[in-house]
Amino acid sequence: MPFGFWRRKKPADPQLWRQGDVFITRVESIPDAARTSPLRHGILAHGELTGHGHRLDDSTSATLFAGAEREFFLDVRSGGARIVHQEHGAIVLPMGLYRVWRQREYTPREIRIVRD
Amino acid sequence: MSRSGNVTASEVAGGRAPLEQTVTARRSELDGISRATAPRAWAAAQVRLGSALFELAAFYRVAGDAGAQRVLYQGRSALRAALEAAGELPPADRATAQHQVLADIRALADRQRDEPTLRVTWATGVSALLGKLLRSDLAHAARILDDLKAGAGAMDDPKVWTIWTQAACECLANPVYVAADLGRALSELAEAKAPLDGARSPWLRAAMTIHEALVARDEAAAGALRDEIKALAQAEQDDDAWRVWAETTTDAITQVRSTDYPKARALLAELTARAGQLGYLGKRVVMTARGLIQDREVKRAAGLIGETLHPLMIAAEATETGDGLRVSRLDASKASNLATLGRGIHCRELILTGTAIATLPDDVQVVQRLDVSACSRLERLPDNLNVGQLIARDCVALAALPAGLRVSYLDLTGCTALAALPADLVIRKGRLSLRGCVRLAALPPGIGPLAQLDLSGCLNITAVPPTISVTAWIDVGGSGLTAMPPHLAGLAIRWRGVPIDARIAFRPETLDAREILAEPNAERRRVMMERFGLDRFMQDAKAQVLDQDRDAGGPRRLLRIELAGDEPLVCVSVVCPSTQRQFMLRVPPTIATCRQAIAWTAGFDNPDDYRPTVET
Repeated sequence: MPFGFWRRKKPADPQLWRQGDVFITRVESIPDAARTSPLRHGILAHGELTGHGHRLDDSTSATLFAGAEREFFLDVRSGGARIVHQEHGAIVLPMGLYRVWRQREYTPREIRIVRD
Repeated sequence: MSRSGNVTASEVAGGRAPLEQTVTARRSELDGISRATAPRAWAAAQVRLGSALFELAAFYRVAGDAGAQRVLYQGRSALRAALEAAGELPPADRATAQHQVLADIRALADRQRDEPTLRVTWATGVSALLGKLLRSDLAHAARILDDLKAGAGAMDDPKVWTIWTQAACECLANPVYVAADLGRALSELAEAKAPLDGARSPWLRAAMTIHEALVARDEAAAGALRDEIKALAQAEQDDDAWRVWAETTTDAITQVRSTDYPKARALLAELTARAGQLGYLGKRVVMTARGLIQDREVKRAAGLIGETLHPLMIAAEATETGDGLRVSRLDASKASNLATLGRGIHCRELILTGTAIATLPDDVQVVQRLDVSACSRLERLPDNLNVGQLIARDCVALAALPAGLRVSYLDLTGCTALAALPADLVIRKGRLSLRGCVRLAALPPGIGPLAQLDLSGCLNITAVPPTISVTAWIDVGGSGLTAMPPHLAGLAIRWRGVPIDARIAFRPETLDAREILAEPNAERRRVMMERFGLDRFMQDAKAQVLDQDRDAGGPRRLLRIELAGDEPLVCVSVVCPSTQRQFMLRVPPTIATCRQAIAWTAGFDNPDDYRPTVET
């Protein structure tokens, strides 16, 4: 039995939140490239037909950053943050760093973000 | 004996030489006087020369001599030179000299009544003198204007009256002149309008100045003046007059808004109604006037805003509010046991969401927004309620709306007990949302015009009366409508919030599976699928079920459809756990299970990695 085997803990499942076509998971850090572009609007995704959107209930509760490939990062402050949508239940995120991305679908030409 | 001016027929024969000699003598006399050293004497000599020339011209005219016009011109030039010289005298002598010259010209004009040039020369001279005096001596100017008017009356010459009109309007456009004697100014303005004859701009300028002085002292008289300007604008189709009317009306709004708010609103309404006549200025004028009306201080002075402008949150354990609350926003959404609202409440926003309120007091006043959503015990709203937005979502006990209700935005989503809308309901160009009002069977013909009409889920509404106009969109999702009402043809259509076209809404049987799958937008694709029917879709597309299971939303199916000349289409059909709507998402053709397909759409190639802990 190798030394220290019993000290190793099984890593906890990374938490994954889903609100409609938006997914959120915890991350260790936010890429430096994304850190340079904080967004003020607090909107994670916006439905082009319905006008509905996934957004921060209070835009001061977290800082939103735009990453590559239409993903976002969230730096949630100590009070936590609520993500709301007109047709889905709210999600409460505790303080921490998060990656946010959209559901995708397949077409023979490209793999694209689901549009609503 | 015939007479022409002061020259008799007998004089025609033998008068030429003496008159010509007189002119020559006057010219010699003038040559002997220096304008530089003796300007007053020179001016007097010019008047005498002018007089002689006019007499000679009159003789020539009677005699039919071709030189009459030339001599007349010389005579007029001499008189003008005399006036000019008098005007250049030192200030101490100037007025006397000018009056003297004008008196001489007037005497000449009275003698030669057949010669209109003399009357016009006199009137023009008086008018020029008046123009200078307006800047230095207003009292003197007023006297001169009176002289001009008396002269115009005595001479009864339309040209002299026109000169008086223009001179009077010039005086009346001077605020100091007007302020010195407002009564006189008003009567002069009335007199000056009669001989207006095409030259309306000076009169309009004068009217504007007088209105400015009048509006602060006597709004009724100012209103009469505005009406006069409006009548002129209407009669003559004069853009300038409309502009002056708009400006004077805006001035009046500024004046009365703090003392008589309803009057200010009435003036604004009049201005808005006439905006079309104001051309490109119309919109700006109306915006400015509206800004004047909307001013917070003005509204406060008019008692439309409570003097205490702080919001008030009612405590969670409260069962009633106090009386006479005057606040900006009264929020009782935390007080779920609140059953009684105090009397005399006045606020901009009243939020009663989720409270136990059954009725609202008749004297409640809400200016902007009344939210009674989810008040499951609410049975009655006060009569004659006038509010910007009324939000009454899920008021399941509300069986009727009050009489005299006036709103811009009315949301009755989920009011399942509501059986009818009142015939006198007024919705001011805004939105009417009746989503899920299943008992409603008809719309009153008098509502609207509306911007947006949401009838989704109104199973029993089968028609929209032709008297109801809608400008932006209509939501027909799940309503009883089977075709677009003819009078709304071309209007944008929605199906429970998703913009679609009339074919998807009313003729879904004409769609086909390939068209549905080619729709790039998932929401619209969902509606198309819903309208077409999943079973029919599968039959139509000859879909093969590769896999099926269940998740939090309900059953899932992985379908495979063979496409001629293309790779097979594999898609997963899922039900959203929040909305219970069925979506269909295409996945790579290598996917074999529903679990694998959903994990792939979430970005996970390994389905074991996709385990959402929270899903809404």
